[in-house]
Amino acid sequence: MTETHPPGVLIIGGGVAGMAAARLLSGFEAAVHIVEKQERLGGHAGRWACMATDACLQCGACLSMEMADHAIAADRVTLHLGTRILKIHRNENGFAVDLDNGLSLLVKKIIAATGFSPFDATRISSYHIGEFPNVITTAELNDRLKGERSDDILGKHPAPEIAFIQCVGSRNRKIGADYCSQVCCKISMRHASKLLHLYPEAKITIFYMDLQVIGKEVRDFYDRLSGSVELVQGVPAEILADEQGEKLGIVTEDRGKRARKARRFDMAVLSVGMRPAEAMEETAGLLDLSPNSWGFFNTSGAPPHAPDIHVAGCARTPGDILSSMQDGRLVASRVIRDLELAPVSNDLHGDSEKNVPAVAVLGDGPQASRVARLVAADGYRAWLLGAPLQADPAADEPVGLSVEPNADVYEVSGTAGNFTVGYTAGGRRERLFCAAVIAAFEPHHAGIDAGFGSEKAVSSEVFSAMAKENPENLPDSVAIIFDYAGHENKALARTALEDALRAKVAGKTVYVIARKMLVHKADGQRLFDRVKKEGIYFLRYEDASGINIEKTADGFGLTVAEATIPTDHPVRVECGLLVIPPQVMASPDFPDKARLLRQRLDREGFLQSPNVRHRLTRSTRRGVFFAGSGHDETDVDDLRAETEDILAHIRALSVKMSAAGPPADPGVAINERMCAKCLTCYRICPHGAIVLNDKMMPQIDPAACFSCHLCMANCPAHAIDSEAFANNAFAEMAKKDKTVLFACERSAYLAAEEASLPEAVQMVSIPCACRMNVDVMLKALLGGASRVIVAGCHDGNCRSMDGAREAALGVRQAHRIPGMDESRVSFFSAAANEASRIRRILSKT
Amino acid sequence: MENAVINKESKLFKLSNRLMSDDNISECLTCGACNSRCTWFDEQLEGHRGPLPRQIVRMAAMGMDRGLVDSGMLWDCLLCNRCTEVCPMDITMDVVVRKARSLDIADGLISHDMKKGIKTRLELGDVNGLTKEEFVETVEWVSEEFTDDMDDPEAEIAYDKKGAKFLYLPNPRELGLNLLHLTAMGKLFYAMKETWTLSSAHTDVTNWGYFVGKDDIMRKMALMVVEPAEELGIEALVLSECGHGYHVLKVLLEDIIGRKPKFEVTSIPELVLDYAKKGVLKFDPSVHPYKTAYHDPCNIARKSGVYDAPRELLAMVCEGVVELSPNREDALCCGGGGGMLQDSESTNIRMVTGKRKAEQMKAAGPPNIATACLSCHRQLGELSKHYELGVRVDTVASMASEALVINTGASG
Ligand code: SF4
Ligand code: SF4
Ligand code: SF4
Ligand code: SF4
Ligand code: SF4
Repeated sequence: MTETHPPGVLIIGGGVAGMAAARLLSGFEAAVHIVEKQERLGGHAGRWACMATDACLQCGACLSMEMADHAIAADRVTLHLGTRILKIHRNENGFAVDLDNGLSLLVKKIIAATGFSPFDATRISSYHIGEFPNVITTAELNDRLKGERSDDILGKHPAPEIAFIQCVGSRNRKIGADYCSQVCCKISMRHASKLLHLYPEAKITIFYMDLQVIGKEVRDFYDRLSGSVELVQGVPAEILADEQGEKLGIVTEDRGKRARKARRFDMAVLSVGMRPAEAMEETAGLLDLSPNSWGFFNTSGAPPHAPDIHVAGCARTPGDILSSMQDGRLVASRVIRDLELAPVSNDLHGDSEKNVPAVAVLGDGPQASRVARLVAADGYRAWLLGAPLQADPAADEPVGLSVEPNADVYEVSGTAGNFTVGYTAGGRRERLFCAAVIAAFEPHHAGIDAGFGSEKAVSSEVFSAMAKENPENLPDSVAIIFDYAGHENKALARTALEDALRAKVAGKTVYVIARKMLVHKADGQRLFDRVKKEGIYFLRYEDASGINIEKTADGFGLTVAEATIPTDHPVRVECGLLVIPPQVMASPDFPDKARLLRQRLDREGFLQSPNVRHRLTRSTRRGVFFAGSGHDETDVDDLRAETEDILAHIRALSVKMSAAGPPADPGVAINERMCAKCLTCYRICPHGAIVLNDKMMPQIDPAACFSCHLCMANCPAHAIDSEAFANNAFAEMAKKDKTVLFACERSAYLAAEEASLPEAVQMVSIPCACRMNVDVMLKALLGGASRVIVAGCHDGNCRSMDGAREAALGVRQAHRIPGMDESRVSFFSAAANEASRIRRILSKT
Repeated sequence: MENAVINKESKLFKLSNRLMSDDNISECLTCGACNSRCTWFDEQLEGHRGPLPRQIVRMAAMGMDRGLVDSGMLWDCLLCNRCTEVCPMDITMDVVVRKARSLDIADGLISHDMKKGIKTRLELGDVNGLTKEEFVETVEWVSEEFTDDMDDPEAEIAYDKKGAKFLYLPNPRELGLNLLHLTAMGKLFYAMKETWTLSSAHTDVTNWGYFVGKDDIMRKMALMVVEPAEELGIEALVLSECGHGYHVLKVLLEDIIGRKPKFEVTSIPELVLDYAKKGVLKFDPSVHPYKTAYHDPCNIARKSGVYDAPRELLAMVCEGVVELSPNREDALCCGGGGGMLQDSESTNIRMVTGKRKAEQMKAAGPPNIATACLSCHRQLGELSKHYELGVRVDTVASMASEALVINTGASG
């Protein structure tokens, strides 16, 4: 067998992990093959319904539509849909892969992105799924929402009572699934939000074991949801038919009465967990991989016994859509590095020394140091600004890493590939030119004052140091309280449990007192089980008022209203050391950092908006990235993955920037003669794409521009020209007597393409809804349209941040004109995966 | 209101927290699954709130022996393990509750009948106080009747017969109120054409040591069965239809006596099914020209894993088996388990704990139900009467005996 060129890469599975890998690889000299059993790309995410209420809930499902389109269009990606692999032969050059479509592929690397299967809830007979029609799984609820069929059950009820039952098929050692599936709490919270949006009178109860409120998006919608949904700790294991056969019965604990009580619901939704893909054994056989005890292939790099085979996404470990995409990119990035794949055209990775791009890592603590090391280790010239380099005995001495520990960064200007970072250090003013910027700032850890002044409880960091250095010297008993002053942080919770084990092993009595135990990552449940098994006492409380702390002669005395024992038995815990992990909060200087980077904060004040178009690590500015717990709830492993992901993005970016010739024409340009130098465009460009030239004139940098046209829609001097979307073009675009639908090319347009539109509707694809100001809406009507409808992304889902809001504003302005109302000009938002919804909305026109 | 202190030295904690094994109360996830499964459902009764299974496990896990004993939950629990079936950590409720019942401080909660029964059983080998002389007298008389009935001088109900293949261990009621049942079982053995015997040393399949959770009593009672049986040199011990007796002597026996017995243990329905499958026993299902619902006794089904044998046998002896809903692993307890039926003062509680069972029997359709445990049999009968269900309650083995096609007279 001969060497093939370009080298082949086989991706098994066309879900989000596989597509993300393909997308990155498509910029490099590789022949990429996706083999997918189904006739379509997208996997589970591709079938997932949009969860947006008034705003996007950041699930990421809609992104799969665009990814699929990209994979179909990409030159060097070959799709084999509806295809199975018959055989894989390993030989000295790689693998020979026989497909059931008669083709045989020669590849160097294989990425297994074979996904997962939802837990088969019929395995738990007491839920009577399939038998009681109003017991469904989250997967089925999703299908109904997606097909707009949720009325099947709920239509009858003006105020339906709905129960969500968590952890069905997860966290259950008996059925061989002693892991948390990571996604089902989020899914149920999103589903509950969506149902409340559709049925505002609905009464929703979520029965959970430990609600996994982890991550910025989840904290955000949890906080909004907690007032309107009943959250009950304790997961029912049985659903009973009601005497009338209409309602469902669920028996739960009535703490007040110290007895059980039966509650009635119209519908029960089982939040089913993730199991290994049904075809897992087949995959294992083909690839000669051995699954772990749960059936996942938890080998991310090339496992020693199977070099050149990589596993990505949920085939490796349960995760959500965004993390699976990230995993796909990470793996693709490793493949690129291993095979030394050349970018499709000359790039910044050129072999000459001066071409190695520089990456600036901005930060103020250990995370930035870790990121900088990883960046340097990957062959980039790295600059660590604002934080000292931490010693790391496990890592090699970094090459190509410059450190300015005292740098105070005051400027990040320019665009991807061409940033200027200005900083002062020791009185000097310095400028650094770099291709990309990573912001890895530390959040603020707010110590919890339990009310005893100087004798307050110690933070988990202090405890950690004690437990690691000399656990024998700890007092005889240690109590740790989680969730005491707000949501627990997953990283701190995990370290505290590990430290608790150290204390226990050293013979101490340890109490873990929690409201909800975070069991993130596949092994989180096993850690929690081990903690209990080792004899650490686990106490559960309902809210902070249920814990009374007093100072005693040799420590603290806690009286805990323990939630799982009778109310008349508050539990008394005496401890020599009281540990309360700090609250991880936005640092007070984050607003400054956000201004510096020209980025928004999230609702809690952390860096980076939760917008799914840029998550997990990107920003609205190409080349500006976020890493670490200053922007999201991350632990050390996440930080590493984020950094690798950023490096993958930088790889892709350098390909884009160096594509032969000048960067693609964004289709917008500033007409210097007409420009009033008001700098409106400079201020509002969400992507930081407007730069000031030597004459201090605003200028659009094609490498950074996303062609959203916001600048054009807002320029008071009409100084911005567009090739395709000039004001006058709108009159010509509109067909006579048609309802013209101006649809965002990334959301509504993709969905409408799948929905067959009524005859009377003419669809026009626009780069972003923000182009649709009142002027162009009127132009279209003047051009003969009978009606103008603008459709953009859901609030919070716009790649350019506020496109939909801008368009909605334009519509409101139009309505102020006499004769203009909803029947002439209107706006709605939709996601790329909402074909059914778009069809319904437009069928009414 | 008294503060509960987590007590590391708790006796209960030590008894029921078997570190390094897989059913370990301190591993409870507090998931709450068990709470939704209790046979009490939402029922309550003056002075009896019924168990909250999670509270039982959690109080035990924190060493709150006194609080648990005082909670009133210990003897409300039916030891049915409906809750255990769904526990993700396999925490076995009947073990936890029985350990708690075994505490000295819980002795006062044991019912008068239970105490008395245990005493007589230990003294005489029979809960009802049947003496050896009475036993001999009764059996000899029944045996004569049996020989006549069968019209075969070889047909007998023997006792203490060395070298017999089977030793039948009856329920105490079979030697008292319900002698006909013993004869009915005798017919089955007769038709199998195997040698069988009773034992005068131990006349009783029950083991109330199980209900009070006291290992020493359970062991003594078990040995009272095992040792004489071994002396007789039997091949198999055949248990009468008794749920807890089966669970103790079949599933727990090795643990209790610390060794394997020198014989096999089976139950009469299982044995009969074997012989029917071999073609030795033949039935005429038209004797019961109707369909019959089957009730899974908790001790035989969930706790011992026997679901199919009684159903298969039942299907051979009537027009077919009707399933109750829910059934098998999810079956509802009759409401009389855990020692309730052994306490004559529990009748009104049992009618409450059995309410769902009664509803289920009504909803099932046919006015006939059979089970494989004489305790369940009694409770179901009382439920049928109390709730005026008009359901006829039988046991599988007695129906088999009724439907048996037998060639009377010597050498068939
Ligand atoms: S718009 Fe997209 S990311 Fe937002 S909720 Fe809908 S599908 Fe999810
Ligand atoms: S705790 Fe974990 S397994 Fe359970 S529902 Fe939540 S995410 Fe899923
Ligand atoms: S089109 Fe959008 S991205 Fe490009 S310069 Fe204008 S506002 Fe910025
Ligand atoms: S064993 Fe039965 S009665 Fe006892 S707590 Fe469990 S379900 Fe309830
Ligand atoms: S079902 Fe098991 S793990 Fe869950 S609360 Fe009950 S005893 Fe604990």
